[in-house]
Amino acid sequence: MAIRSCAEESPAFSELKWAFDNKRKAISKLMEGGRKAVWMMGDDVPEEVIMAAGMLPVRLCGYYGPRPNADKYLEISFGAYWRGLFEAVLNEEYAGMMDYLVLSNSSDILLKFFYYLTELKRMEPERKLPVIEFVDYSLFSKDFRSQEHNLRETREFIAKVEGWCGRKISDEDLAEAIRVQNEYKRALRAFSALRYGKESRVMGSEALTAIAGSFYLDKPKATELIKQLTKEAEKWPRVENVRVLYTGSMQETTEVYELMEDAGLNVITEDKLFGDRYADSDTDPGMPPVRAIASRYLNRFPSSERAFIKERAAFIPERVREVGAEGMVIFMNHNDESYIWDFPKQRDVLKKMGIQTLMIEDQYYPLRDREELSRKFSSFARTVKGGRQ
Amino acid sequence: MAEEKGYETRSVKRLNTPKLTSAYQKEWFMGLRKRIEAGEPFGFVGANTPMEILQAMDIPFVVNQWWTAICAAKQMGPRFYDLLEQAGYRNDICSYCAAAYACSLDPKPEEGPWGGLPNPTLIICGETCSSGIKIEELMTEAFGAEAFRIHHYHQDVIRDNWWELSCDNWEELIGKKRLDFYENELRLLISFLEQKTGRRLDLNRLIETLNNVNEQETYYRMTRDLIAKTVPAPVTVTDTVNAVMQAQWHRGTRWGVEMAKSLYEEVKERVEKGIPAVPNEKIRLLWIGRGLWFNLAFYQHFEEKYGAAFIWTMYLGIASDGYIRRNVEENPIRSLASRFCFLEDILHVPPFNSQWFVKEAKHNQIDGVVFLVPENCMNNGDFSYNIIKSLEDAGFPVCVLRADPADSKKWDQERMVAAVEELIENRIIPKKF
Repeated sequence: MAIRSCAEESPAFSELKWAFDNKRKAISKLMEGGRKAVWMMGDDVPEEVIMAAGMLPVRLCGYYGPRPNADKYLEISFGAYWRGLFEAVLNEEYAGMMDYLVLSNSSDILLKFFYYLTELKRMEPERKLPVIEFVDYSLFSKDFRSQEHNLRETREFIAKVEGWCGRKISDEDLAEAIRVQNEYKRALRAFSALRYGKESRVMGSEALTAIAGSFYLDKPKATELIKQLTKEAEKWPRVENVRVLYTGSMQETTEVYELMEDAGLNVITEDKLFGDRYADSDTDPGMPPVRAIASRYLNRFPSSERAFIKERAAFIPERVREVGAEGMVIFMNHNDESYIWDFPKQRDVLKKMGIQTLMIEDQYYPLRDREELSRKFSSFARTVKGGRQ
Repeated sequence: MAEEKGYETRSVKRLNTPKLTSAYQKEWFMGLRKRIEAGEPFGFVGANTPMEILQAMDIPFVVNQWWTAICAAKQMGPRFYDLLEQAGYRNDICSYCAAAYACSLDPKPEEGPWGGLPNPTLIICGETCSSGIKIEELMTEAFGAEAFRIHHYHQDVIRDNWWELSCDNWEELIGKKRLDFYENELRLLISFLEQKTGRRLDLNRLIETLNNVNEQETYYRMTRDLIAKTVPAPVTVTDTVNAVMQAQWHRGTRWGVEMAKSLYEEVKERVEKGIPAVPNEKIRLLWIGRGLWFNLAFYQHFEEKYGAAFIWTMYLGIASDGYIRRNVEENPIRSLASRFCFLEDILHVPPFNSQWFVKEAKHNQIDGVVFLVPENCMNNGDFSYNIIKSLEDAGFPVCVLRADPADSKKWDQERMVAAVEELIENRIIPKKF
């Protein structure tokens, strides 16, 4: 389903959509003041540290076009989402715009990328790859070892960034970054609240556009626009589609969400960074800032790549209840199917709640069979609607 | 098996040591069952864990990926992977790590290899793969075991020619930060094991175990070097893989040392008597990747027609270069940490893997490389591009086979034979002859 006219007519949405559709231009604009850009690959790069240094945090989005570099350098075991990210580092799209690239331990694939890119930099110095860094948070266990380790890792990352920006990052700098970031996340959460429940006012593709678009704007401006959009969206017509929670491979474009919408579904939440996971929780402003940052990245929505089956089997149903979802869609790209290990237990718990699930596997970019996908989505929508009566 | 598959899957045995290790392994496994029944703890561990600690504490254990190899060798993979599918998972992913979990779903577990896998009481795994951690979680629940996960920390120091540093200068190779991290993890693991089993780790026993490992691996190094310099080679990979893998399972014991010595002496005798494994050896091949346990005969398939002998796999290779750590007594835990945290890097992290494969290809007088890329491993990623490029730039043509090394049902013998023949006929023979 294309973006609805109510959204298109919104000035705030238009600005956010412009940034979403024109990421390169939006980032260039942000870099005009001469700020050094620190690009982030992975969910768990402590953005607040980069902001506190006066540097520009830039969220890397995958490249959606031909991917010759990914095809050349990556094994078949890397799914479509990962191939897009890798391509975006190496092709011309952002050439010359990356001063630093920080990867986080949010997935096993990202550690591989760190090794691959580091080696590629050695092998092919003519590529002029950026300075590459890895934030190795321990994210699976939330135990004392992880807490202690992550605090150490945060301190070391701060020291690294201080080296980049050439000055000391004070607690005051960090506290101010946390304040700005928290306000932004609160605005995103207030907007996302309009996606939930029977009174849902926002389509998934509109939400994805607005949330991801805001990544490519200055934080205070993004916050303002999201707040403005929230006020406007309160008056948007109610969405009647079947409300679903989305999990699986990350969606950075609206294509799959739109297919789902055309089939009668609506993604009202997702456990993904390009979506609700970005703003899942605040960084505690009452805590010493370094500790607050370390804690924040350990205690967020449990992602499939960094959480136990048991945690996910508790979290997903709880989230379904919280947002009033009627179904769950797990959508997996080919060779990105590790989510399968989570699925049976989630499905069993959801079944007891009367919540239906749809599993889509073996997907590629570009999508190979849109018709078949549409059929599956439509059939699922009909099944869930049947259950409504 | 030849009848069922339409091709031979069992290799021809040339040495006595593999027979001894196989017999011992089977006997040990039978004894294991009795020990567990008598109430002893039983560990189930990932291949990337420091088994020496369990060895020194006399806690019997089975290695996850090696158990998969046994299931594959017994042609039981398909049965187990179908059980996974029936439980709502898939029969075509993570096969190298999921066989043991599949055993827990088996309504007739006693029909598994050697009477089936007993229920582990302790599960230890490394946090290097999220699918692996989830499989371990499922196993822990299914077997009612206690689990310890060794956290992972990345290698942030890149050194060329790691094998020149690993035996004596391992602190420099790994780096202080990472070693501190893993040393702490091992101390936590020891506390866990002591608490759960009521046994204590004896420092003297640990040092003895680590010294035994050094002795055992030194024999492997001598064996590897003998094979490397002898043309035609005295043995091929089918003679060494079982002998090495089974004895590595018990590394740190005197039996492990004796078996490594026995292998060395048998190989040496063949060298001295001038007995080649493949009398018409013309081509020497190197195999990168997991062993083809369900079809070891594949390695011998090219001997008669081309005189092509597979003489290298990672099993003897890594035993030769990856394990030895001298200066154990100063800080045994730290030396062990330096060994186990780096083992995966040797195979999976560039440039450690690519540089080593090139060095081994040169050292073993290799003519061509067959590289098995597992197509269903969610964590596969060795920067294969770099491995292939490094080898080919150094003059070693590479053929890539994409296959599942654990599930015989998916093996396409005809296609794989054709790929290796293509390598031999079009890339090795024209260059060499």
